[in-house]
Amino acid sequence: MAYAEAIKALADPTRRSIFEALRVQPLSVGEIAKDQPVSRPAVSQHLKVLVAANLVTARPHGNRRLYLVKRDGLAELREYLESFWDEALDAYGAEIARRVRDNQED
Amino acid sequence: MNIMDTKLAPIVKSIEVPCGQEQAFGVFVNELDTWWPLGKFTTSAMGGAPAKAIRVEAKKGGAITEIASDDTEYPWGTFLEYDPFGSFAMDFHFGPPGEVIENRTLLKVAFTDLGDGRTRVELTQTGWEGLGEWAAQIRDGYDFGWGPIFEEGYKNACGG
Repeated sequence: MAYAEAIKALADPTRRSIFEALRVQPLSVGEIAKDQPVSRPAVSQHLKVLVAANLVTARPHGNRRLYLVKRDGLAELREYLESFWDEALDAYGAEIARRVRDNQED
Repeated sequence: MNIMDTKLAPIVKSIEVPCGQEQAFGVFVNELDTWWPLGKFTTSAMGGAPAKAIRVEAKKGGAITEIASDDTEYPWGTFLEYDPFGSFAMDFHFGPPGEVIENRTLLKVAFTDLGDGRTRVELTQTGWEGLGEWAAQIRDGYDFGWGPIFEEGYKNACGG
């Protein structure tokens, strides 16, 4: 479940902060590390998680590698939040309907 | 745009069910886990396995607790108001396994007797700000103001 990966990835405050920075503009690992209280290797690890969660992608730019926010992953997350109550209430309505039907059959 | 300044619209959902108010309330609150999508909308499900059950302490101050596949208990919130069979309110939020939940949204559910053996159930969720910037922004509609930031930002970073 992709949305679960995305939620999990963003549950970490450092990763969220990196993600927020990339929202403003694509950055290299070095540029990200300058503004984060963690080392470059740690930033790389966090980026790996964000990439696996489909939230961030990397693009070569000259001799640098830039990381940028990926919209697909966000769309999945948003869909999950949007669909949450629709699906839950549908399930509730179906359960009520089932009970009413069962009662009438008794 | 400072997204923290944005007041977020509540989610409002409404459904009509073919039963009386008392049953509508009872099934929603006391028998929540007979219908809740345990395999999708639970902490356990986000970790990859459906939850076993949801325990509801149906009273003011009572807790709603998810029992995960491995019997771990995850609190979802507590009843702030409990007025059978008309309405209840609770603070509500659950996240993936391992997430420390500091803030919750406010969830209100009202059950209105429509006569004729029908009840309208209306759900209002507010307080998204409490979930932090990213959740709030996703709730608010990520498209608003985001495109230009992205396009401009990317263009600038790439030297125009």
